[in-house]
Amino acid sequence: MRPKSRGRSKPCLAALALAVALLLPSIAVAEEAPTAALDDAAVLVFPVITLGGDSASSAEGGDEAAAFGAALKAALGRALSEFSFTVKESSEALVQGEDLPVKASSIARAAGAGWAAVAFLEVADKRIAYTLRVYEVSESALASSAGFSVYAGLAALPLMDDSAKTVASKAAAYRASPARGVGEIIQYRISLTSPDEGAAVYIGAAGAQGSRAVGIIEDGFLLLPYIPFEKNTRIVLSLSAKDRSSIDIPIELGDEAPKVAAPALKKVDKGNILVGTGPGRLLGLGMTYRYFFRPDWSFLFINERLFAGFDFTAGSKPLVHAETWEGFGWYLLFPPSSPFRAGACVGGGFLFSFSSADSPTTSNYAFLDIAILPIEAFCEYRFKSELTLWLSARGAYSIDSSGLLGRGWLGNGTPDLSAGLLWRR
Amino acid sequence: MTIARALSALLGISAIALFSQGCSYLFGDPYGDYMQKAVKWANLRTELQTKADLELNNVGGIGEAESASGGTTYRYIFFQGNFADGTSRLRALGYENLDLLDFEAFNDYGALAPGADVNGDIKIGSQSYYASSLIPHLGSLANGGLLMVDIGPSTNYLLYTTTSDPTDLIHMDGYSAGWANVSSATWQISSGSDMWTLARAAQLVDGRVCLLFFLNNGSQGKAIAATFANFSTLASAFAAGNPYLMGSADANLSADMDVVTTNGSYGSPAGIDAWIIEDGIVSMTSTINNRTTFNLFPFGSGAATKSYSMTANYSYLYYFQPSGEYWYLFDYSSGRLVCLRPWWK
Repeated sequence: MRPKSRGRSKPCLAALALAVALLLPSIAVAEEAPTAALDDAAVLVFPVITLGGDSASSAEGGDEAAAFGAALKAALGRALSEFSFTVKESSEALVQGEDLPVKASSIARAAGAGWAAVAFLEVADKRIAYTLRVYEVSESALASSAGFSVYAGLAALPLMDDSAKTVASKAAAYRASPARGVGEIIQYRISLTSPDEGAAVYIGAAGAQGSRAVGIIEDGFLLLPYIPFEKNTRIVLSLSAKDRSSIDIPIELGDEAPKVAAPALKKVDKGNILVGTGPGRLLGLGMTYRYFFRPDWSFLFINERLFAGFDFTAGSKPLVHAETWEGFGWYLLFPPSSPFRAGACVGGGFLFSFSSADSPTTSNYAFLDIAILPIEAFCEYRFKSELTLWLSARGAYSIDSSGLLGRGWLGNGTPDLSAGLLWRR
Repeated sequence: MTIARALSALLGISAIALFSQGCSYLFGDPYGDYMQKAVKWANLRTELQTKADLELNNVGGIGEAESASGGTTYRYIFFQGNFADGTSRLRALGYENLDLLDFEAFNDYGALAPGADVNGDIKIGSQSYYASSLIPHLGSLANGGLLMVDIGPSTNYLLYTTTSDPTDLIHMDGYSAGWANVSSATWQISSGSDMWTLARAAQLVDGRVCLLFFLNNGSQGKAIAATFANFSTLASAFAAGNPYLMGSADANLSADMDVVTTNGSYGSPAGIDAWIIEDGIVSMTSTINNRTTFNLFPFGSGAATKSYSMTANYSYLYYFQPSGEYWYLFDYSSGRLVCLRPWWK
C-alpha cells in the first residue's frame, strides 16, 4: 500500500508547489530587535512545526509535509492580513512543548509584535492533520485556535484557508474584546495582617458567587498567592471566622504591594437586650431579650412591659399593666455591618392589668387579655459605638374579651409605638 | 448605603415627631383611660349570659331611681339593653355593687327616666314597682316619653315628651297619690324656627329643677339649661299659660339660664351630648382621634371649667348622675359597665 501511495503523491506535490507559489503572499521578515512597546496590530508568524508522521520516516513524506506546511503558513498569513493584522514572519523554528506559548511570545515580544501565530502539521497515512494557534504576547495566552484533519490532496487547500480564516477571525474578535486585559498587570503579592487567627480569607465579597478562598490567617498574617490583577483596579478581600461577623475590605491595586491591616472581626450577636418605652407607656419601661438562632438575622424574642396608665387628673388612680410578648423576628433590610437596619416581628402576648375597682363578679382586681401580634415593624440606627437607637410600630389584636380589652385592635387603632436603646455589635 | 442614610434620617424625624405629640397622646392609656377612674364595674354581657341566658348586643340608655319606703332608701341603676333575640329590655343593677337583679321589663323608651312616686314606689313607664323588691304594684299609669317623675308633697309631676309631638312640645301632668290626674299642661319651647328639644330634666339636691334644651342647627350647636327654684315654680310657669318657654317669651322664666355653646350639634350622631349634674352642665365634644373631651359649665358661669380628656371611641355610652356623685360608662367592645369617680371634684 505504501509504494502505491508514494507514486500518486508526486503529481500532487508538483501542483501543490505551484499553488503555493501563486498564493504565497509577501511576508515581511521580522526584525528581531527588542522593542519597548508592543504593536497590538502586529502578528509574528512562525515556521510551521511539523510533527512526527511520514515526514519523519521518509524523504518523500518530508517533502509532502514541507509543501503542505508552506501552504498552511501562507493561508494563515493571508487570513491574518484580511483581519487587519500586520503580518511579520519569523525564521525561528519552534519546538512543540509546554513552554511553547512563552517562547513564541518572548520572540514575538522581542520583535515588537503583540501576537504570535503558530501552525502545527502532521502528515500520516495519506491524511494531514493541522492546528493553527494565535497567542496574545503580553500574557502568553491563547487567543484563538482551529484545526482539522483531511485527505492529503489539493482538497486540503481550501480547508486550510477556511481554518486560517476561522483562527484569524477569532483572534481579531479577541483583540477587540472589552474583556481582554489591556492594562498593566501587577507584579506583586498582597499581604494581609489580622488579629483573628484562623480567619478564612477570600477574594470577593463574603458569600458572593464566585468568591475564591485564598488562605487563612496564621500568626496574624497571610501572604496571598500571586494573582495577575490589572493595576489601578479595585478588588475586595473578605474575612470570616466562626461566631464572628464577616467583613469586606476593598483594596486599590497601585504600583506598590498593599499591606492590608484588617480590623478585628466582631462577634456575632447571639442575643441582645432592648430597653425602651412609648406613648401611653411613659410611666414604665419595656425590656426585650432577643435570642438569635441565625446570628445577626433571625431571632426569638421575649418582651416584658411594666407600666401604669395615669392621667394625673382628679379621681384617677394608676392602672398598672404587665405585658409579656413572645415571638419571632427577622432583620429584613441591610447587612449587619450597616448602621441602619430594619425588620419585622410576629408573635403574641399575655396582658395583665391591675385595677383598684371592685366588681361583683370577680374576687380579684386583675384582668388578663390575650393578644396576637400579626405585625411589628422595627428599625434601628447604630451610632459609632455599639449604642443603637431603635423604633418600632406594633399592630396588636386582642382576641379575648374577658379582660380589660374588648376584641379588636389595641389602642383603638392608634399604632403601638416604642423607642429605646440597645447595644448592637 | 445612601438608602440606609435616608432611612436613618427618617427614623430620627419619626422619633422627634412621635415625642412632640401632645401629652394626651403620650400619657393616654392604650387600654382606655376610664379604668383609672373606676370605682366598680360589672360585665353586663357576661352577667346576662350567665344568669339570664341573654346575649346582650348593646345598651341604649342608663338611668337610676331612688325611693324611700318603710324607712329604707332603695337605689337602683337601670339600663335598657338591646338583645340578640331582637328584644329591648329594661334591667336593674344593685346600686352598691352593680349586681345584676332579676328585674326585667320590656320597655322601649328612648328617654330612660325612672323615678319615685308619692306612694314610695318606683315608676317606670306605665308601671310602678315596689321599691324594696321591684315587684309590679300599679299598672296602666300615665305613659309617654318620660323625662322625669317628681315627688311633690302630695302630687306626682310627670314631665315628658311624646313621639307624636313636634320636637319642641313638652307636657307636664300632675297626679295624686292614687295616680288620679289632677292637672295637665302642654308647652312649646320656642316660637321660632329653631328646632329645640327638651333633652334632659333633673331635680337637684336642694330641690331646684333643671331643664336642659338642645338646639341642633347643624353647625353651631347650643345647649341651654334653665333652672327653676323648685318644681312648683316650674308648674306655675306651665299653669300661667305662657305659650313659649323661650324666645320672645323667655322673660316669663324666673329661672337662671345657662348657655352652653359648642361647635357641632347636640344630640346628633356625632355624639355631642350634655348632662345635668349638681355642679352644672357637663358637655361632651365629639370623639376625634380616639379622644373625647368633657367640659363642666357651672351653673351661672357660662364658661367651661374643669375639662377632662380621655381616650374613647364611639362605642362608649355615658350617664352622669344628677347628684354628681359618680358617672357611668358602658364599653360596648368589652360589655363592661363602669362606675367612675368625678374629675370635677
